[in-house]
Amino acid sequence: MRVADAFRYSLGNLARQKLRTFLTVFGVIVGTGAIVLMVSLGIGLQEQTISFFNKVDILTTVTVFPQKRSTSFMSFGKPVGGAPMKLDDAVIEEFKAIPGVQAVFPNLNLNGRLMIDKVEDGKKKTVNGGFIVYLGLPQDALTPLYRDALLAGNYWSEENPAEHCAVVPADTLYDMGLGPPLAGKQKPGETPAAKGDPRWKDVLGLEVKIQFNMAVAKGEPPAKGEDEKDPEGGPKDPGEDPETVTKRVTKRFKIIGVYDSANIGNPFVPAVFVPLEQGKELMKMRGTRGGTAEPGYQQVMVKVKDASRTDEIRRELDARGYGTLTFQDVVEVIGYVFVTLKAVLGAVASIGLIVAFFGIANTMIMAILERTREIGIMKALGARNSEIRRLFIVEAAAIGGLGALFGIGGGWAIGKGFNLVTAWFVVKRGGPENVHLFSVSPWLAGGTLTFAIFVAVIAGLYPAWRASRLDPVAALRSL
Amino acid sequence: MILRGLTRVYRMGDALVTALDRLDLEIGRGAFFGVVGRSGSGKSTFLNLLGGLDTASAGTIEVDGMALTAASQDALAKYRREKVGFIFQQFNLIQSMSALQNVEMPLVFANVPPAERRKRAEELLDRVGLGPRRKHRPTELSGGEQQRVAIARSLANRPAILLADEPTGNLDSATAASVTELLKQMNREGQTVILVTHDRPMAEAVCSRFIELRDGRVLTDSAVPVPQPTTGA
Ligand SMILES: Nc1ncnc2c1ncn2[C@@H]1O[C@H](COP(=O)(O)OP(=O)(O)OP(=O)(O)O)[C@@H](O)[C@H]1O
Ligand SMILES: [Mg+2]
Repeated sequence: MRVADAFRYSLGNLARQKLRTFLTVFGVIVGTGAIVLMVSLGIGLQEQTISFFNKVDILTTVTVFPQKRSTSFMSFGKPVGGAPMKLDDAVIEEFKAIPGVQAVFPNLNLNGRLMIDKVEDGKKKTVNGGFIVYLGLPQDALTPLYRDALLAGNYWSEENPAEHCAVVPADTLYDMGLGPPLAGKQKPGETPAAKGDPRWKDVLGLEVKIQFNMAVAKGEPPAKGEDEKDPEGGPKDPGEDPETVTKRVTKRFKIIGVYDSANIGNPFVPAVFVPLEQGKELMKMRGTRGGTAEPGYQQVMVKVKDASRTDEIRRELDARGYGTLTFQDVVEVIGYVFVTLKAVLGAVASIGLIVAFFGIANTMIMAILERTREIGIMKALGARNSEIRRLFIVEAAAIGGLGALFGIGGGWAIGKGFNLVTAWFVVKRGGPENVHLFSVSPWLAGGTLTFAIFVAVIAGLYPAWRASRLDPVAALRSL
Repeated sequence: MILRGLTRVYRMGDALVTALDRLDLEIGRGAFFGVVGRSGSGKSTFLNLLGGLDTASAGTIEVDGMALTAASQDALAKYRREKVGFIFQQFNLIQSMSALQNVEMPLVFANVPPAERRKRAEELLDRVGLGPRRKHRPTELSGGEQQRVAIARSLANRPAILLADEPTGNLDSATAASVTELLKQMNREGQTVILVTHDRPMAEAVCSRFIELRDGRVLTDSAVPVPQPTTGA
């Protein structure tokens, strides 16, 4: 018997019992629809999580460490031993010479408290901006992404090197009572700011103070800050080296720009950006951290010209013995977490298919009882047992396949509906566009279809086996 | 066709029913062989065994050198597909299929390509005089027409042997005569026909040879001129 004939016969029989076929197929539709909906939620959440970090800038960044770093799920980013390499200005020059590299600069960051002196009701008052992170950036690290994020003012430039200047996040300023709110953050009655909003005019040129807590070795000369207030140091972080003393150092910066921290794919946001030279100066003030720190930088950022070459340059740096991490490593670790989530969601949804399994088995047994005589006839006409078996397995598989097609379509459509509603809400509240919670991948659709057909075939195995084993004489006498 | 000690015993709970009892028989190629006997004498059992639908409890059947009683299920299916055409009292057409599709069915199992099997089925339906009704389903055909469809189907694979189990049992005498005429025609064309009937005069009229069964044993055989002494009543 030809495959096409088997399909024609099986589908013809399904078409003849329309209601029963529909009811059985409906079970599969519900089962596969639930799987698609649940797993597509997992995929959608994963995509959202990745897209949260996935800004152009981060795809072109290789973070270089003195030692190899783990990329495994349990110990991501931890040093894995080996002799540490030195990361200093000479090495940075070497990295810059690698073809395809756009910029190389040390990743300097320090926690600090942002403060601004304001005159309110005729009284001088210091507004506290909470802890922020301070970063030193060179001119050539200011990629278009950084420039796009700028809302008012400007970055420092070669022509305008501006001593002690800073570019500050708009959100942080707004929380301190300075400047307008960004879209979504406004209180009732306030108008959210657009790029170049004149209300930032007053902010530009203001002087901010950043207070750093620095651990320096005991007995080392106190760091030369401008306003050294507490030479004995404030409270220590638990776990801080007991041989160190925490010094509090305050530095003053002039605000020359305001930017939107949500638009920079930087894990250290909100951050105050200052020119690299100022950053280095501050790091020197910190001293050698009780003499335990390795000389050289802890992290160096390598910016690649073209995202497609990130992996190539990363391998080059690996080969030179440095430790490297890229965004791809983060994506992979996120992948591990979401594989588990998707598996759990899929397994829960599969309960629907288990129910459908029994529906298919029941329908097939009914079909065989109804067609006992027909099976006898086919045997008398020379059908092999294997052919009879195949006819009924094809019929079961068709139920599974048909149900899966509609189930996948339905699950996809419901997810799309939810996506439209959530996107509408998010945009209405001033959030980003194209937020989606459900996402159906070709793998999910294909996998669900295969799985549903597989389940249906298993459900059809026993009935088909029973049909093939019917005694032809008895079958011909039936009914 | 050589039958040796052919026996078929049915088990009904604890009781054993002997439907065929040590039958020895040889049927020549091209014969029109009749089997008569009253109800329950074992006629259908005999035919089903010859057609490879049923398996013997003891004894052997050999058809053209092939031992049916030793054959595997698949070998029996092949035998039915290539050598045998069945015609039943109940017609046994597939109700959901048209006359044409029913006639095509044996060719489907023989892997004949669609165009070719369609052509053959149309020829056969023309031959039994049902060309114009090929699209009709069995429920839309009279008993005689259905049986002619069944005969067309039995001929589809050009089988060497036609097995007919009371083919006229459900038909009026005029229709029955036309069906019998078709069988005679097939036989003239060289097919071995084995006809089961309880209509002894008909068997006498059409068969080249016929036997009478009773309780699974041969009571009389037209090929043996002197009737055997009766063993029972
Ligand atoms: N499946 C079965 N189980 C038990 N006994 C059976 C079975 N099939 C047939 N028999 C018995 O075997 C004997 C022969 O049956 P068979 O069908 O061959 O008779 P028959 O000559 O064809 O009768 P009829 O003219 O009524 O069709 C009968 O006694 C019947 O009861
Ligand atoms: Mg009978």
